[in-house]
Amino acid sequence: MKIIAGVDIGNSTTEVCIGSIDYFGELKFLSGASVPTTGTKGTIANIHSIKSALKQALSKAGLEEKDLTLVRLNEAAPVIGDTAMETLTETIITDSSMIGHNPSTPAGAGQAVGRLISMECMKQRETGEHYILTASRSHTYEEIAAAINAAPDGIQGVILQADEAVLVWNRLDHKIPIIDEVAQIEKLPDGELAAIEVALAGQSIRMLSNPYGIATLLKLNADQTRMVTPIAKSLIGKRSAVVIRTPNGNIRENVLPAGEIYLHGEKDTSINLDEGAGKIMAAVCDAGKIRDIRGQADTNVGNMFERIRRSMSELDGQQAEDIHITDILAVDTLAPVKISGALAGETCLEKAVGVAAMVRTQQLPMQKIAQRLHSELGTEVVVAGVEAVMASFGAMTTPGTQLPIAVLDMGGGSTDAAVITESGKVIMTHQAGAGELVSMLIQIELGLEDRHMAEQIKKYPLAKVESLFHMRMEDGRMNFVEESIEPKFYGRVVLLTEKGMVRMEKDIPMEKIVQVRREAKKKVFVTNALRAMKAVAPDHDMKKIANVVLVGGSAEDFEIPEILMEEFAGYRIVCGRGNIRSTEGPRNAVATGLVLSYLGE
Amino acid sequence: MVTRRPSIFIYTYHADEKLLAEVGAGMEEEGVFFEIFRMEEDKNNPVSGKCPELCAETLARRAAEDSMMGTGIGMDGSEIVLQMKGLPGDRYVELHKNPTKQNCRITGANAARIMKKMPLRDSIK
Repeated sequence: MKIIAGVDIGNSTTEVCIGSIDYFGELKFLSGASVPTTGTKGTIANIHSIKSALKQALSKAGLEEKDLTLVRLNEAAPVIGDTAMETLTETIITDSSMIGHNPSTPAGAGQAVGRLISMECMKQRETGEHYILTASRSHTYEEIAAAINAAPDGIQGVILQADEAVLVWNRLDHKIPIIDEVAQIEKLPDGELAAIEVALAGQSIRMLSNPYGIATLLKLNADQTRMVTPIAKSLIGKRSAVVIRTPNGNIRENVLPAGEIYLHGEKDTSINLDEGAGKIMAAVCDAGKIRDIRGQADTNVGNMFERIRRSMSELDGQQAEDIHITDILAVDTLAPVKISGALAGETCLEKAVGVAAMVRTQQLPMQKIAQRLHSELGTEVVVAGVEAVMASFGAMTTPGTQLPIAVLDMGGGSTDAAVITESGKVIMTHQAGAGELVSMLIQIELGLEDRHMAEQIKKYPLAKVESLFHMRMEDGRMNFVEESIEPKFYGRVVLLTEKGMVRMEKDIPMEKIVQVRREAKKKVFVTNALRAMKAVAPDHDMKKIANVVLVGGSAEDFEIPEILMEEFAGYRIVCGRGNIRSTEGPRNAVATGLVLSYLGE
Repeated sequence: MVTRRPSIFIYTYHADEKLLAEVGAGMEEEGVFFEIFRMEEDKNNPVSGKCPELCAETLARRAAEDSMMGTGIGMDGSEIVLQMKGLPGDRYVELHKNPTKQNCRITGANAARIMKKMPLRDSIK
């Protein structure tokens, strides 16, 4: 009896499938295993994860390393992917200042205009002049209230560093609007003219989020009003704001052109980034088989492709000039852009385009891995079969499938598709854009600090903890728990992971997160699935495909398969998450295919 | 019919008045009502008759049970406990043996935030 192991080294996991072949040539699957890949895919560092995966799978089947007859490694697809994002227009404002934020408890309501004056300079006020008082954390609320009550003339509003607006307001004889929680209060320049606004309860500010409102309060002319527009835009929806008029009105607007994308393919074309993702993807489709993609020098898109080329050359070890981008996926997004002059790091949302690019690399040194594994295990090790073909063989073990079958392998860096026709012919394609682009979109659109949180949001459903004993799930259901939830989760949006709850640090409504997450998945996977299926379908006619089996890491996602099923329903295609060997779910397709294909040899 | 204001109860026993003021300021800033019951002053207080050992934890638990909002604070000297009705016996929302003024301000704010169903602020250690 022969014991065969199929080993698939992926970007994120290494999968193993163990099968036995008896004297009559009958194949029986024994076990499988999956462990995180050690090192970059296709390098010697992978040996460690291969061995531990083999050990796991063998012990499940009650076997040892010495029982192995043959190990078959996959010939990994020689493509690596990268993602980047660029805003369409970059607006730089200098020397203007503003603060817009949402303190949980400002006090009073309405607007006030006056010269900024700190607590220390209270005595130097001139009669008849209007003032906005600023007070740092070193003054207690009682001191501040007492100081204003003692000499209220001219004080129109207050800006506080501490979270004490209500405390001061409750102690004032004459009520005026108060903004608090302004962390960097020392940046407010004494003597400058400023306008503050606090919104009515349940509303957002009206004057300072309107260019003409700012013009009215700060007495601006038409030119100055035009330049203050980005400030007004970034203050929309805030509960309170401060706008400070700058001495010279020295505002410079610098717009870097978005730039042209040059596509070198069967047909050379170019498209402006300004046109948006839809037009760009149409141009990519028109260009046919693409040899290289470049961006216009000294433009946003040029810089973006430059960044991609540089990071790819680091990974691949080739000169940046020799890197050829063979496919891109462009998606529309909104990215927060830092406004210079914003005292508290405020941003405004600008239209942006996110791009995933794919680069063909040299053949990965799989043969070296095979030799090393052979010397360490003492077993025969061969590199066998193209990854996409093996994935298709594996996918065929899903119950209810038949030829012609299409396999959509949705990984982290690329989306790969293959079709096997009745005659056994295999057509395949690799496309840029998969799970990593989804993570990037989530990170950008929600303005998250780190990629890890974005990845978790991609993977896990959300809930809002409404009391210590119940939470509302993202689909509206209530979930009651026996054991009380820890108070640190109280009132928060949490991710329900298998290791328990993870709380969102940023205060974003649950509905917004759900919407951004689903849209990101749709933008990437629906676009790519349709693109890939059209490329591999017989005569490029999707109706000629009967089955689509979804495999790969992103097929395990809790909503991507459903999103794609809805999309494919219109083409009368049976589409679903694969169930390799009726037991493994969408994972292990390549490893299983490697064992299966041994029979054919 | 509701005849009392929905307020957070604070049961104290010889509380440090400076720290107690900070707790009150935390709640006032959040715009929530609160009532302070000084156990050492009131002979007919709701706790002393039933419970001889007036530790902060017991005071907080009683305060949470008695408040119609289910949120209570207990203070014994400088020790402070924030409690919610329904939490099992050995658990509490916050406990500080020797709190700073800032700790007390946040504890007060968090008591209010429980009522407002808002995320709690993390204590500064």
